Amino acid sequence: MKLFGKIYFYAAAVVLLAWLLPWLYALCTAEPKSTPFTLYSCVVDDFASLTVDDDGRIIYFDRKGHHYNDAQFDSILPMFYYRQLLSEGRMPDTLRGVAIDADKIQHNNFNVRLSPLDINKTLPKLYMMLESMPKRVDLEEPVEAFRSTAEGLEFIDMESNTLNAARSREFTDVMKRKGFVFPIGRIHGNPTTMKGYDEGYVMTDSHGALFHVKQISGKPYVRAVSLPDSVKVEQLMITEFPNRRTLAYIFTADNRLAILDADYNVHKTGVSFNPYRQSLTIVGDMFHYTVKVADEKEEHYYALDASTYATVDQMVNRYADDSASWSEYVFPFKVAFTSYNDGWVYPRVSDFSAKALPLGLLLAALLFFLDRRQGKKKYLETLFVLLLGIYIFIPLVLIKKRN
Amino acid sequence: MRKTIFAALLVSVAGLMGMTSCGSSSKSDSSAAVADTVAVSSVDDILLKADSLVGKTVRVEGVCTHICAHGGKKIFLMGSDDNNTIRVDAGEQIGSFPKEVVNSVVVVDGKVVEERIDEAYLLQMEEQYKQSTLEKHGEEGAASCAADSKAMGEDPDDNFAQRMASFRKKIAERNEKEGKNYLSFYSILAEKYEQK
Amino acid sequence: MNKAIFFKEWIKTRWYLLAALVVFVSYTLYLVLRVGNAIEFKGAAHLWAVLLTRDAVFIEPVQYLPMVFGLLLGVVQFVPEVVQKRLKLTLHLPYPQPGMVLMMMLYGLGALTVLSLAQLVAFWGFLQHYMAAELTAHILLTALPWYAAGYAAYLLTYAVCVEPSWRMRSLLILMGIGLLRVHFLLDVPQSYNSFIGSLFVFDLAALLLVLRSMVRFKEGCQD
Repeated sequence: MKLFGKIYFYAAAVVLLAWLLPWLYALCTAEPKSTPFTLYSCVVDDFASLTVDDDGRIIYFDRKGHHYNDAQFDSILPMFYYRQLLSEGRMPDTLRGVAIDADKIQHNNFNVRLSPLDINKTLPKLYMMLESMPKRVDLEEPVEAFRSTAEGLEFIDMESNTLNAARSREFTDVMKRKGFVFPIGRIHGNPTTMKGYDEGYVMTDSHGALFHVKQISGKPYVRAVSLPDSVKVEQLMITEFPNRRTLAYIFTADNRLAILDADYNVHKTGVSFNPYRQSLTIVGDMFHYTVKVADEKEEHYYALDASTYATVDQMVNRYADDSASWSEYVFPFKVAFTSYNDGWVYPRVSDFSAKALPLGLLLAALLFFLDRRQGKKKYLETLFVLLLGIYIFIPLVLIKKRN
Repeated sequence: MRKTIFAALLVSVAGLMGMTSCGSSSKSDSSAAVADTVAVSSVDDILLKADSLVGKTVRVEGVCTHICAHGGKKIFLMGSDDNNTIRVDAGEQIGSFPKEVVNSVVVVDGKVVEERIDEAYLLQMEEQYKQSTLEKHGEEGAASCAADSKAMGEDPDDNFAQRMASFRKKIAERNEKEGKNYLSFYSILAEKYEQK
Repeated sequence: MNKAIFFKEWIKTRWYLLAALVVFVSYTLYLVLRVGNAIEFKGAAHLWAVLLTRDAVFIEPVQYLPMVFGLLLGVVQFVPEVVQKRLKLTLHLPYPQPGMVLMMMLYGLGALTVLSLAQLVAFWGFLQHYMAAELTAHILLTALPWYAAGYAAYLLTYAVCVEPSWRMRSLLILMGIGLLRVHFLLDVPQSYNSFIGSLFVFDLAALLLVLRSMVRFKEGCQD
């Protein structure tokens, strides 16, 4: 009885210390990781960055090493700083042979941010359906939500919590006629009225085929999308930008970004991206998309042509290597219950470090020689200290019987 | 007395027969009317069976996605996706469609009309284009309205030469596949409509 | 004998349980009324939209209630035993010692289970009228770690109360704070779905600490 209680005590102590000590260390030693703000310039055809030096001064530069002042920097990124240029009367009439004005720039500019947390969490499998062609200009709040079953879609009136059998049948019939095999695989939509227009949902069926589904004047709109053989859908993200040039981003099973345009053509890009582990930021304008893919180690920038989605340029910013920290010599492993990359709580054991063995050996020797007992128990405890290091040493010392 | 009764009976029977026949004929009229009126079809169904429906009266329901800006004489009904779109021309009884039908579900009764585009037709279009007498509707071409282009499977951004080349290519493909050296485009000549 | 043990515990805790019942019922009614008012003023569709697009589940106010209930139940049940030195007598009764400990624990866990289950059922009964099964499950699954914390709090309090040595009590208190913290790490709904089973088992396994403390108490450990 007492033994089991002891085992539980030590087990809980090890888990808690393996969680809290590294956390405390990180809390005490955390330093901000900043990287230069970078965009692709359609003027100099290179990546242009700005950063803040140790004295707090902003430095503007490009990859070739040219330095700029703030006015020059505005000029080489006219799509981003167009308001500043307009206010100073420095906005050109044409760029790259294309006539431009503020409306055109605004219409084509967009930002996208996707983090692993957006995908790595549990959401109810209910999806609100907006009316994509409302009578009035503004989108109306959705009144129905749907779920997917093996037989088809079920629409539920949200106000009365009752099934709308007619609409369920109508959508299911049209989807099945277009080749949709239920239940839904992946699905993504943006069911909010805080946008210019609605494109419903992009979704895959149980065989991985891609479809675009929305509601137009209460009727189902279902369009099957032909996917190239090399594109297997892993995740989806619908895009509802003002210029309506793209319909969705497809994140493929081989960790690539593909773009589904408004004419239902799929363009595979050169962007390597794992939506479960990396964050994606896209700043787009009428000439280029600056795509940033970031994880714990580095930021990878891609410049894509906005018309063809071909990769025009790319570069990598690696984060400063902070591996020379003494935590590896103290903590044989780390336990965490949460992660910045997901919305789940469960124990994760990571960062195993053989460099902590010397400390474990030292602590084990200390315990061995200070403990006057003899017997199997002593040797067992010494072994545990060798393997688990400081995590088991602390509770052993704290509950040691005083003679 | 018996003669009177018999005459009265005869008249009654005749009257009854007359009423029944009127009733029947009106019934048969309404039955004929019902029989004439096909059940409401979707745009997808009409397009799928269009070649067998040419000349027949159909009732089709779809979402009106576009109305011709010049006089409202044609609208476009979409089915389950933007590939299933059909043009509806206003018949004499209708005259023109009101602007309010756009973005609504519309039910149209009308005849399915087939427009055949073959080489002779293309040559005629090219001749008219050369003489600049081709019906202009905005920019150029008979089907230059983007919705019209889409309903005919064209790219609205193509110029005239590109459109002609595209038609010829499609005719050649159809000829090879089905032995028909023409393209068929179906539309509906609307006799009446109802906006839902 | 079992009946007698339960009756003893009942005598000790009846007024506390009555107060706890009042608090639980009040919280439940308050939340039902709150959600009901939101439905009345903004419509059920609005609530669906909030649940589907934001990290809210509407019953957040009960988050710490089960933990506080478990902790206070442990205090009410076992502090008098220790302070009034009745525990030693209890353990010397002609009844297996582990059994005695478990019976007293069973009473507390039973009370905790009855109140927690009743509240969950009340929420379910109300919510399923207005929301699809997915949304009701979304809310209740999010709340499960809060109720698991109640069990952990009760058992750890039991272990702390019964533990004879202050050094060990301090360590158990620190451990308890850490273990309870694990139940409230993320505000993201349904974040504990894959872990709640193991967490609940680990919480219940804290009875091993209780048994150890009881043995140490009987042995008179004063380290």
